Amino acid sequence: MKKMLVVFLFVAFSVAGCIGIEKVQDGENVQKILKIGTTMPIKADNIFVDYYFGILESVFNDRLFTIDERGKIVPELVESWKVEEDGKVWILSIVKNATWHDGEKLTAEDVAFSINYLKAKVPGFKAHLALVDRAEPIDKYTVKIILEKPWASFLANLVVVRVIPKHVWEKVENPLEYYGEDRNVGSGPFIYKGFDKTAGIITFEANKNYRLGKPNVDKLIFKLYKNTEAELMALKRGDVYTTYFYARGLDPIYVPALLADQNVRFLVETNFGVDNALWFNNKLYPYSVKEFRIAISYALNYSEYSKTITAGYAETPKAGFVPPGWSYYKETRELVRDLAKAAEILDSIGFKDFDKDGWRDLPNGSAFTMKITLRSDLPESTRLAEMIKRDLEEVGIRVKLVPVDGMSFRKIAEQERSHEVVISRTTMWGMMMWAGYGSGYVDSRNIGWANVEDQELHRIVDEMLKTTDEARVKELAHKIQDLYAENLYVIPLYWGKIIQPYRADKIEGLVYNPMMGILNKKTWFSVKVKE
Amino acid sequence: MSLFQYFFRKFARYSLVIFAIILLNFCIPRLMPGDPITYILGEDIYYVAPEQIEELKKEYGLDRPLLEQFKLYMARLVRGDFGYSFSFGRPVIYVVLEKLPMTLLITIPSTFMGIVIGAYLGIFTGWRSESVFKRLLTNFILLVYSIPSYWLGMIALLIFSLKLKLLPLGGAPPLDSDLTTFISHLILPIATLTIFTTAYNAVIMRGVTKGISEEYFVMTALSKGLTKIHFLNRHLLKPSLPPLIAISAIEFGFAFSGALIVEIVFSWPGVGLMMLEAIIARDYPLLQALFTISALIVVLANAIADILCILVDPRLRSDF
Repeated sequence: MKKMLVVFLFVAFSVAGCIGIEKVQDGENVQKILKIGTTMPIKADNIFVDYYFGILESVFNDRLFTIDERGKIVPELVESWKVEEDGKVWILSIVKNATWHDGEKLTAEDVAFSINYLKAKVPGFKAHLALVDRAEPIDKYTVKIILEKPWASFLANLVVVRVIPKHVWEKVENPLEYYGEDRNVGSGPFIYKGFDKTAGIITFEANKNYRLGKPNVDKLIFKLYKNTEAELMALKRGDVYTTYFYARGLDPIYVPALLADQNVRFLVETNFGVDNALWFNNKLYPYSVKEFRIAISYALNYSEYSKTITAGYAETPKAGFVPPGWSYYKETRELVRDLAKAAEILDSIGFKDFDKDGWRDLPNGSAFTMKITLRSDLPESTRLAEMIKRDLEEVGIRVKLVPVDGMSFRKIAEQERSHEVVISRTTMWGMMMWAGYGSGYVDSRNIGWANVEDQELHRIVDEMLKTTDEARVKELAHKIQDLYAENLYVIPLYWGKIIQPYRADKIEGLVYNPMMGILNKKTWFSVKVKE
Repeated sequence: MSLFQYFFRKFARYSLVIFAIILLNFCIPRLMPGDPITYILGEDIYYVAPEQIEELKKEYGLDRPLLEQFKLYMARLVRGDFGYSFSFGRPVIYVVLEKLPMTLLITIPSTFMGIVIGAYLGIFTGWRSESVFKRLLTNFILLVYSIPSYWLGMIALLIFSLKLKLLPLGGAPPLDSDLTTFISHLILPIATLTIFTTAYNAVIMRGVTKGISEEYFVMTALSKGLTKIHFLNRHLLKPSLPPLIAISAIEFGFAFSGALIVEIVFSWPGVGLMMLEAIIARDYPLLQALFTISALIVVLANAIADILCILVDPRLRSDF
């Protein structure tokens, strides 16, 4: 026994002694490597199969449009564009100096092919390109996209469209099963070098021929971790220099432990998504009653959610739902807790405790329980749901929490719409969908967690979908926020911040982008890896 | 009953169990609400055109009567065709063959070491267990046994990887790693798993040993004046083996289905983690394959254990 222990310790320490600090040399030059830890569950290196690998696609491929740091849609591969026939025909001029990693020129042929190919063969893009009739090249660098009907916010969909090389993909019948060596040929600042699935390492190398110049780092390495604790230990140890998760910062509960490390610093940024909100199924009684929803809003303790769930890295939300930072954000009334007011409204609309069992009943006297569905795959949802339950029970509303996983949530809230109330979050992209301003999740005709059939909302959304006039867009954006504030179809619970930790002794110059986080062009050309 | 009859009965029983497992794996998706194709396609079902769904149903034979479907399912199974994993974007068999060696790399050594060390620890603490040292050791083993493996793994990472910087923070060794790097990645996952398997086996073996030590043949053996080692190996270990073999068979069987918690803590790309990911992604073809393979291996390990028990325990041979 003693011998075995000695042998074990000997092997352990001799092995450990051999592990040195990594210093990679390329001829005479020391390579500058940016190492990023992630807990994104990447399983396959095919952008059409793996959602999270698709997120990394922005590293090695340029898109037609992108989002700038203020959340505005800006051109990337597009030089200029114009809209004809009131938003039915979109003509894009492509930059002339873009090339694929294999040396071929990127042309309008590639762009037109990509749009037609994605719509025909990739299930995930069918929704984004639903209204596209066809795309065709006009000349070498101009492409025409014809829609089935006018769609003013079509530009937002072009932000997610992948531009892929025609010469690679035209021979591929099923892109979901394609694993050819050239599957990740892109036009972006980094070149995909491989995915070591056993070690959980994805490697990219700087594209020396990139049209905007060579990025500041020679190599980009993503190290995959299966839990945040190990990822943050790696950050503290210096194995990785920063962390990344799409549309999500660091969970604030980890911040105090990292604050103790003088090498770790944080970027604290505005979140363009809504971290957590209470979504009523507005088609179901009693959630269809405006006064009932307003009463619920007065029962919730917003400042406590912000303090407890986000450790103070959030602000109390406004009734207008859309967080500040968005262009055409409108200041609406602040959501506050007022139990007396909540009780008064509930009493006034007949929600009273008729049978004296301590719980409010429906106006017709039958018992009432609010069923709140929450996502068990989002850890903060459970904590938040417990607090909401406690707060609502204080005004006599009996609550039942129904935890479900992400897939069941989608089935209940999107496919069946059988939910009463759900707690869920939106990403920045989620806020941009449909007519923008979170309308995709509110409007019953789209994803519709709030399942709103209000004709006034539909009218505003329809006009937003058609209008390209900026002044009118601003007017409509204000209108929709006023409508949200007045009706509270959905109650935002807090407006959180994005917390991005990094090792200040290893890197500097990270730039945060509201959609892709630190994975953006500005970072690649400003980040410095310290020796 | 002859030896042949005995094995024939065992074989028939295990065949029945295997058939029941296959039948369950066939029925479960069909008994669940909705169409089995929903589970095959996962969330992509929302975006796939109805005619494509019909095509897929035809391809999987889901448009045929149940009995015919079952025959088709069995035929695919015999060919080793478990279907296509939509979340991994590859045929299921490739995904399983990619992850299984990674799992076995940590579970087989830890199971083996856990059984051997646990058996000896159990016998040691179970034999004349009144001494203070043995009581303390027993309590320590119980303490280890009751510690959550996630916590123990995290503490190991904190000490050996973060504070002492001796070992990597997880992940399997890179493909191009040298021997030292390779071993360094294995140490913590194997050590954590070994500690738990050891504690579990020690607790079981302690109980068995305590029971046996009160038997008359033990007193006889001691009165003959045998050496301690001889006595331990021949008179104490041997009669304790059948329960140990039965437990070990189950442990080796489960070794193939991964060690989920340890795989999560050490970011180890094994079968346990893959099973969790398959559940989250509703990757039913992959789940069906994993359940079938795990169950078959547990059954096989039990069958081997039955044979081994007959070999080591003459009492079981008395009927033949």
